[in-house]
Amino acid sequence: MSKNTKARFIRAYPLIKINKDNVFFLSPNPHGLSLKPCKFTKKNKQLSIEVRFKPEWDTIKPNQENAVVMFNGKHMGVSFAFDDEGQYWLKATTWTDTNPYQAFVKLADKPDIVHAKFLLRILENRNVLTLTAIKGADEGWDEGETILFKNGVADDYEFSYLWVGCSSALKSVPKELRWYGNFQIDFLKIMIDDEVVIEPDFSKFTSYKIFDKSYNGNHLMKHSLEWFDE
Amino acid sequence: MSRLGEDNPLFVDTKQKLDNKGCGMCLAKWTQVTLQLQTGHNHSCHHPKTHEIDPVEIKRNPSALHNTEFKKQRRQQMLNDARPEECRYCWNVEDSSDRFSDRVFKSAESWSLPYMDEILNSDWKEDFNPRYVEVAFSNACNFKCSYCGPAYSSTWMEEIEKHGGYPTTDNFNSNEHLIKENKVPIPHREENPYVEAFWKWWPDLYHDLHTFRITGGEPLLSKDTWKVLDYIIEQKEPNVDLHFAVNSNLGAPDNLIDKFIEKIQQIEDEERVSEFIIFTSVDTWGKHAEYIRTGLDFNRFWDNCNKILEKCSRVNLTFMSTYNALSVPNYKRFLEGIYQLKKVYGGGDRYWNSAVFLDSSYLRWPQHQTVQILPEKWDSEIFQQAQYADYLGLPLYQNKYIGFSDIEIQKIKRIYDWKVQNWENKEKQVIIWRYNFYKFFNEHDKRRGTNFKLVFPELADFYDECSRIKLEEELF
Repeated sequence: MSKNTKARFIRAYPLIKINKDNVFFLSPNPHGLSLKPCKFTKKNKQLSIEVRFKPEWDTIKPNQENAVVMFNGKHMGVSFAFDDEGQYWLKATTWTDTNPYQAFVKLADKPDIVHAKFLLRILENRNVLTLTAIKGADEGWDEGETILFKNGVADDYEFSYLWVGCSSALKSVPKELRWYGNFQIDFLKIMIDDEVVIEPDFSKFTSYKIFDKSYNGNHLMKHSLEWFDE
Repeated sequence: MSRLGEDNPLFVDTKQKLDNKGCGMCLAKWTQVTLQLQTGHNHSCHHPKTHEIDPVEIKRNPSALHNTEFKKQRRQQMLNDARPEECRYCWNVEDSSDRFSDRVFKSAESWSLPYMDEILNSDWKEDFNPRYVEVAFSNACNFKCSYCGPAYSSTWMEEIEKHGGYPTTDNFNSNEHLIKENKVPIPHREENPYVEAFWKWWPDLYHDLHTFRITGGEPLLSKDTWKVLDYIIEQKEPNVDLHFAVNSNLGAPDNLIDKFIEKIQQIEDEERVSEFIIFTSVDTWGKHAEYIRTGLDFNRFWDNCNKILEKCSRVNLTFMSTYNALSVPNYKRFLEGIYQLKKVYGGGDRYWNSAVFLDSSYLRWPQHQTVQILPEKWDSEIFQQAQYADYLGLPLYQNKYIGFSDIEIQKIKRIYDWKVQNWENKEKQVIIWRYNFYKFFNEHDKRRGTNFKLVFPELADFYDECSRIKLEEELF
């Protein structure tokens, strides 16, 4: 990204504001119109989530977990927070059947824009979770953390919904674990095994859906108990 | 598709009652009729072929427009545990699968089921007033849509009388088969004994009707349509349970459109029917749509749709889209147009949940214009159109939400499913259809002064490929 990241980010799209009243999810398509389901199964070897967002720092309390993009169940995805000491953090989370694993990246002071990449690779004898905060070519470096762990990932993700703006808004999930996020978003791309499965076009939306420009038919849907009461 | 034994109890129960009377029993033979008064034909259900109405019998008994001797003999078979041969579509479904056939669905409809006992206990010779009636008064039509023909369009008739059939392998739209089957339409300015009989029957029929739908031709060009509208308006005790519908191309002269709006408003305001639905037809957007439907001025048509929705606060407009090969390149734009109409005119107190419905059905005939002729590269475009409708979809089927309903989305998906279907000899058939595709539109351009490649640059290479097909005799 160039030096004027902020200006370009804001000009690029009419940003979509995400907060507890405006979260999106993706469930299985009832019409058989999804070409590539957004599911990370035991057969898949790689999951990548690239997302660019503008945190609403002023509305967030210290140590409050803000989910950006997550698969529900045993939460897997990208979140952010700041702590009591004023440090700003980007987090990647995944689970085996028994344990959570997290990678952390310390962000620069109150960053205006965060461009993150979550990469999970399932290798023969270990798993590799890498979280990167992309700083851009002009600044010369990216910052990231990689962790290794064993025993595959949890079964949950085969049946998970994808959520943008929370870890899950299902009624069965306690409110404190929903991790509602406060941010604006202009870019998201999820790839499974090197294939793009969803890339929402945040400039193209209806009152209920955001268009999937990957043409896999994975249009994110606004969550509301009015029409999605599990 | 519903399956026996694991279904809606209504269908299970209906089938049981029908079967108790006889293996071929179907209430639609009594309760439903499509009257093609321009040719003097009818059928009760769209599966059997139409049959002739006896012009002598209707002079004595106008209800013989529906209660023909031919039909009564089929009713006799049904009441005596036999299966009429003309209904073989349903017998094929029942004998080759565990699915309900249409005779069950039609018999379970609200315009059939209440009359079950009356019909099962009737004598086959008795007359019965149908509850679901579709009628075409004449073939008068100012359009000549490429997939239509002289039986339903007077302008098509004029062209065929002047130039003959098209130079396709099946001599498309030649008058020969109309003559053979005695289906040459009576010119709308001439006296028509079937229309005459209809008006004799109408006062008796009207109060029994559940659904009445006027088709054509273009109904607004038929004086009989206006007579029906006036009849409804003038009744002291109108049939307020009537589901009333008119099919119109909405391309009639302005004075007729305005007059139509006035009549609708009066019927709406005075609550003279249970619902008033306008069915109109268009198959894609803009110039492409105009090419498919000769006579269509797309912008004027769209203005008329807006005018009706704006001025008639309760009426619903259903777009019947006969999705064909030429619909494909611009259908996404059409979906956006329909979505905009839904947005602008949604909500409120309409007869149905949504002000506007889209009914996308794939063209089956003539085969040379079906989506099957298109190269595989167009498959993904059709799929993406279904995805796009899904993106513009409703979260729930309620009138406070705006967008495409499940059925509207599914019907587009079905077009894709059909396009990618394979069957024996499909490849050979498609070659013939492509050959005919070129032959038809090349002649169309000559006769009508159009230019296919100019209107459809996306299909120009394909069109040229089709022009080079040489058929070997064995392919015929």
